[in-house]
Amino acid sequence: MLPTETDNELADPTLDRVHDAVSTGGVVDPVALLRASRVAPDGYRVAVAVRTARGRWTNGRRPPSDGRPGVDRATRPVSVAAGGGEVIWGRLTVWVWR
Amino acid sequence: MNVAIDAAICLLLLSAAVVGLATIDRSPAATDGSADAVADALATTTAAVNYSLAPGVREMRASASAADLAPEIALDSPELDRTARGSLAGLLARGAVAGSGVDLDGETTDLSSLTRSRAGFTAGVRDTVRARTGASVRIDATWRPYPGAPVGGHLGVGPKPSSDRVHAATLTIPTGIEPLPPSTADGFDRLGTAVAQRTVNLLVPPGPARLALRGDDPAAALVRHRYARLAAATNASVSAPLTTEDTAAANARIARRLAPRMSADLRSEYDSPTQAAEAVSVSSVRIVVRTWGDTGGDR
Repeated sequence: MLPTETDNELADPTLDRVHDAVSTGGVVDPVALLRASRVAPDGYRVAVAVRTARGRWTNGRRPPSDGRPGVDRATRPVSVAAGGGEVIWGRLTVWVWR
Repeated sequence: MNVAIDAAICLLLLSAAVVGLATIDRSPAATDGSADAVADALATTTAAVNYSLAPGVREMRASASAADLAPEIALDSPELDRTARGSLAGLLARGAVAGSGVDLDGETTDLSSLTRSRAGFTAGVRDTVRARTGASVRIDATWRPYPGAPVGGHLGVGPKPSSDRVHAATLTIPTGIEPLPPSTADGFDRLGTAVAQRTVNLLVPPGPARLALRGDDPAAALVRHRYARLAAATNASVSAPLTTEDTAAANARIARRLAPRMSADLRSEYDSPTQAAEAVSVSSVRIVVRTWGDTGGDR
């Protein structure tokens, strides 16, 4: 394992759980991001952001600044419901820290 | 512009037969799933691609045999503008088919496009997908009636993998061409004929082509040009059926030229027609997604 991979031990599974919690039929609903806090690992805080060409949504928690020690981060491309039945490309990112 | 004709040519030029649901083959669980995530997003995300048919008109003007028939239209005319909408995976699949070529003589694996009418579309799809997937994702959309067929198309997006640690996922997108009926597995000749017919009907869908030919330029001229190229590549003669816009008959003539070659290819490669029929993939486009390195930018 590369050192960078062990960093994501917490963030990768959290990303999967967040994705399950905020998506329907594989499509992320930005309004549902508030639910993401429920799937945080015990004793940890989770910030979630979805970024698209139309804008950025969060679960209301500001992510810690990049490079801060003790912060795990993971990201994946997702499809996002943009209203009016449109589904657009986006990127879901989670940060996990104590 | 006549809306029906416009719709028809748009369908035709996109080989709009390519629609429908995607199926995803999961890569082994050992991977980190990043290729799966990209494949999922390609299958479910929609986009619009704006493009122009101007490259096709420009090509006709530059060609000694086609220049007389080239439509008289300014290359920046809005009449040449088109918009295609669909899932990214569907657009990639249409792009692969749109760039299809035919080469009965050579042994080339990369077939050059029959005409350039859809060059704007394939470039637009490539840009649209690349803008979303970034620099550490490679996508290859391939349509080939069977492995090694003298007909096919490919659309590649993104750089080639720069690492050995590559994750892969595959999407299969239906072309909209009906799959082979079981009876075609009775013999190689019958199989080759069925594959040839489906191949030609995907390259030039007869319904939309007929509408376009009965309409105005530039659409009619571009379809005529496409038929001319396809006829030349297969050594077929389609001028008689096309004087009455009989696209079904024109397609049948081209398919009759392709069929013996396809039957022979399949006969030499497979032990039985049943095995050969299983290898036939004329009804679907295969999209392979490969990811590597850090796909983690928060873009």
